[in-house]
Amino acid sequence: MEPVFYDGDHVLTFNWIRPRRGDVIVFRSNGKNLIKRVEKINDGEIFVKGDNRKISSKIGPVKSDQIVGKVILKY
Amino acid sequence: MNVLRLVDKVFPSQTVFAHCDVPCGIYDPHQAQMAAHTVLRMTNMIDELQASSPEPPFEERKRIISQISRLTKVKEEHAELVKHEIRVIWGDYFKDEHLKQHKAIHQLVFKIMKQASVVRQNVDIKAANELLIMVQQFAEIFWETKGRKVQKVKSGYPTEGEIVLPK
Repeated sequence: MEPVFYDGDHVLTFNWIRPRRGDVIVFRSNGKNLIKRVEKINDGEIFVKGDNRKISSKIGPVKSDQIVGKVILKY
Repeated sequence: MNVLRLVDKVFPSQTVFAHCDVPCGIYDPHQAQMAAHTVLRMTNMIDELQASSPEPPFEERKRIISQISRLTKVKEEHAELVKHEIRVIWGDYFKDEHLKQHKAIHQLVFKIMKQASVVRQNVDIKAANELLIMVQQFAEIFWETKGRKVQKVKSGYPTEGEIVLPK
């Protein structure tokens, strides 16, 4: 997620609002918490991508129940 | 902000990852080509083995059996290495956008998997050559996805075959 988020950054998430395009979200995937940016939302499916296009791995659409929250603060 | 970090020390936060795998981005079909050349070389060497007579002495038979065993072992290992290398590039590197350009990649990988088994099961020079050609086709497609033109150069191996390299 570089250059916005680097290894070791801490983030605070908020889960009372629906994510929108451009938001950075944390979601559960195969037992891990992943952080990615929302690219688009289609029929409840959230398509995400990493900011660092050179090395970011692609994953399938995310469902809303996988979402941990929207990133609202980096510290 | 340090206050929040202090809070995290009391209530430890969870780790989040930006990647679901380790996308090292380092892939090269060179190893697969070398392995395919090795399979061809081993097949040639087994094929060229000759006995002094139709009923050679026991000592000579032992030597021949030992030699065939060694050559076969290397042939088996390298056919498996072809499969492994191709599978990793196909499974980890190739993405949807590559498939749009190269629709034949799935079929080609499937054929390589099957052909690598054929060369293990037989001592078949033609089949080993076909495996090498398929792996070279795979290498060409791989480099094309990276926008690189390819060239076939003499491998310099005893098989006298070629190897596909990026220009």
